Amino acid sequence: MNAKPAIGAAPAPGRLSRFARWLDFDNVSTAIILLVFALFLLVPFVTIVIVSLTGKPVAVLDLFTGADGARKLVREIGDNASLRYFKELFSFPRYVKAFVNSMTLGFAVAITAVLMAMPMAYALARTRMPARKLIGALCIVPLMIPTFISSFAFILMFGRTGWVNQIFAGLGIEQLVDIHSPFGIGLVQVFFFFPYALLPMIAVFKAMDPAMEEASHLLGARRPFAFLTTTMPLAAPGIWAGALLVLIVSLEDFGTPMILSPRGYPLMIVEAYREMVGYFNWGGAAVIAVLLVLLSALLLLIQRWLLRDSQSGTVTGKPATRGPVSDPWVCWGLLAYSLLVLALPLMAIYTTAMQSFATSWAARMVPEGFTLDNYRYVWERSTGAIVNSFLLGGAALMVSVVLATIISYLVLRRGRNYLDYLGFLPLALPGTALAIALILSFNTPPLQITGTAFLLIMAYVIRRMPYALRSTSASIRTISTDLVGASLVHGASKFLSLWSVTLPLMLPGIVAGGIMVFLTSIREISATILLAPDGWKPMSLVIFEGLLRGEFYTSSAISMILILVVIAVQSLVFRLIGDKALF
Amino acid sequence: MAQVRLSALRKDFGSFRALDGLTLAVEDRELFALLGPSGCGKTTALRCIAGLEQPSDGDIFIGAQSVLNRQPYERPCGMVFQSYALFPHLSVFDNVGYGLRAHAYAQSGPMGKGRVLASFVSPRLFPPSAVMRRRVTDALQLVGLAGEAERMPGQLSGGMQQRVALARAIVTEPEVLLLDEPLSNLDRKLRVSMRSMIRKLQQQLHITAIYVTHDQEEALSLADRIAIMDHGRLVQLGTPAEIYDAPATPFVADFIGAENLLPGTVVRCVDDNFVVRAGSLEIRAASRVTDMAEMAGAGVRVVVRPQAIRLASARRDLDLDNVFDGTVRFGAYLGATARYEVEVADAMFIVDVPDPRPGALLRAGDRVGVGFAANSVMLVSDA
Repeated sequence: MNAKPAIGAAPAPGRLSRFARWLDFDNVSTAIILLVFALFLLVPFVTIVIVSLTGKPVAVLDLFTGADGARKLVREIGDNASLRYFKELFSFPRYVKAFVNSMTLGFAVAITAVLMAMPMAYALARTRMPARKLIGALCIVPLMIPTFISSFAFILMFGRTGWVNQIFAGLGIEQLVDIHSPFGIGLVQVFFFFPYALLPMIAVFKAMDPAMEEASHLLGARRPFAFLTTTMPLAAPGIWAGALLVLIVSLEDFGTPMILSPRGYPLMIVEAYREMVGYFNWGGAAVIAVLLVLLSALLLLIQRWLLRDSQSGTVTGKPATRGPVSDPWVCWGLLAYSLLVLALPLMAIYTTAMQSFATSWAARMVPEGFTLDNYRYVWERSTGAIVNSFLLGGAALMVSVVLATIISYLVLRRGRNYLDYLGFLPLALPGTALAIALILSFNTPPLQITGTAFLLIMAYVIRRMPYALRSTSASIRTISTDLVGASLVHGASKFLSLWSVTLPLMLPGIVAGGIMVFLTSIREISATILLAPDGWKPMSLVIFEGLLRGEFYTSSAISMILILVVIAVQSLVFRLIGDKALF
Repeated sequence: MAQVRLSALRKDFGSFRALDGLTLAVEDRELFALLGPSGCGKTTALRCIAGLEQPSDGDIFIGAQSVLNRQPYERPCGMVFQSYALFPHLSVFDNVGYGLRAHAYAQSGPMGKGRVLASFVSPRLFPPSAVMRRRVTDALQLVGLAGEAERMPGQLSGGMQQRVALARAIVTEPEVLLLDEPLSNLDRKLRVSMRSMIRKLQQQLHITAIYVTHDQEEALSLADRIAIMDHGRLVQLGTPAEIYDAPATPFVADFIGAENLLPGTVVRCVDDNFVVRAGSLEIRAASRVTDMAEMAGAGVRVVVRPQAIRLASARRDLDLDNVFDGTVRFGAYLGATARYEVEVADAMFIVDVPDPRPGALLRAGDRVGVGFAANSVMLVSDA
């Protein structure tokens, strides 16, 4: 009895029909995503590891062209593999020095940035400091300026004829700082990377219950003592995580050392680029790239581990609702301090702006004369670069958004948690290392796409997709399953439910994530400089090359366009989703 | 005709068995309450009927047909969610009209489908049909929200959101209305008025309604029949009066709000009454069963409702079947009643005194007479 209707009854089992049934949306999209990441993340990594051992270009993709290709690949590896390049590298004093320099610089910048950011984090999270909102918004600005622009601005300020330098010279101080030095690099990095330490610190300070601090306060501890003994230990994971993030960013930063180029101070990221472009030493470039990747991956893992609790939102419980410090001395003191910290980045923007409008400028606070010629020149010569930036960034945006939306759907609604790693692994890839890996992987048939705009776009997608993924995941998480249930019960098919409920509610997250990808792509330089084909140079590369060629005034004009685009679009993101999209 | 029948319904979530062979039938046009503590499976049962959960075993019939192989959008149900689940990006009008649009999408050709999809992107460029407009307006009128069509759900109070959810569930005239703890997020006063609104609507629309709640008062006051569930199983099914007056098990008695629940043994029968020994007390209870002889020696729970107990300054002032000496241990003034905990020998009775005068409240330590009639005592078999 009770014979059930045979809707969807299985046809005779066969290989083909089993495959046909496997072909649903979830499986097919999972397969496509895994393929994309295998091709542009896994294959490149395997390639640089092989090249770092053999010193010769290999085509890992030969593996899939048939038995012959595979045999050839194995033979090549077998014949040439050795640790020669690693040994060579470490017997070359220049490379050992580069490693030591990079690490020393990174640690110094990280520690300084954390110490510098700590009072600001406390001020923003736990006090009634005046103009908190403005200060908070200004703190994001340093992150929006590409370091090659800020480094150049620092030269204009602190260089031999720099206007800041001249002011101090008038006070009798000859050469305040030597900007073309390790200290100069550190200076730029500290003042432009400190927000990476600041934002996680604000989060932990906010999440902590001030009642604890108050409790120790009531027990007789004075404010500074209470801060040191109760607040600091609890905030430690957030502080360490912020420091590590600064360290990673400093290791990966390509613009600052290239522009300031201090003599006799090699850094890993610069050496990797030189090996590749200057000496065509593929083995050497690959070795440094592998080291950079492993180093970044290690640091990133430690950072994740430190943040493991705060990720689930359980630092110590409920968010702070009471007890912000309102002592006027403390508040105004902190405000003065914050303005001091923000002064340098803001001065850098001022300097770039002045330079872009200047007829000529040296040694005074304002240029000798103002003109729009620089912009006219840009308009006549570099509109192509602006268009390229929008096309490349836009393409990266589209691909990332589609991938990120599908991945977050599969992870959060279909339980395919392993895909979530895709939103985190690429963060361990310095742009220079990824670019070297991509060039080496796709330099030969069967898939010869080195030197195409497509490969550059894929480099942007792989590196920046995590931003989009975080944003789309956050938006899908806020959609309760009851909403989808309600649409299904009231007659909507799965597609209609997706169209009318899930997608519209995800839209702000999708848009914000896409814009983050766009913004970080158009100000990218480390991968762009290696991958951009001639006809496809974006603004960032044109500025960078212009600066290296000494075309300071016109480069400043394009820089201002880039900065304005970034700031305008970024404020749009904040409108949409607040400051969640940054990390 | 929309009778809803569950047949040996089982649902496992991993190793947790949410439904364990649930069988029951809901009659056409009946308001049926599924009542039980949280985790008893009542919501899971409702979600299975809606099609939002696929049962592990068993069958579900709406009318004469099994709906097991039908998708949620192919079942004739409307549902009100505990969280309301209003679409936050759609206006009240579009929320209520959602089901009508969805049905239009399902029933029309490619052009019509495109129109419906476009109407979700821009309701202004693709306005609703006159029929849809009228039906949505009617539904809003029924729930008393006629003027609120253009507002967004976020701008409404909890009670209004609840009524929008109700209008959305009934606008397509479903055969079965499913309500999942619809009033649990509202304050007490609003709950009582919403209760009567739901009852009136259900009768006005001649609709079968299944109402999930953990609030026994809500179930008793609202439902035609109640099914009490525990651990995924049906414990008792009956009208509110049957369940209140004759709880089938100690669990039901406890759940339905019997504060005084003493374990005891039937010692003998006198005339029409049992005598039950509960601790050191002998309690007389009027019989409700015909075959009294068989009950002797049986383990029972003695149930006396707090409002059935009388207090007096001395036991001689009480002319009742059961009278004892007691001591007030705790008192609380609740406005309409005063609630006391009174110790009697080794037992503790909860007593509700109606209309207490603030000047005449008892205090902890006061000695009182405690009494109740034999026919106010219920015996619930322990077995």
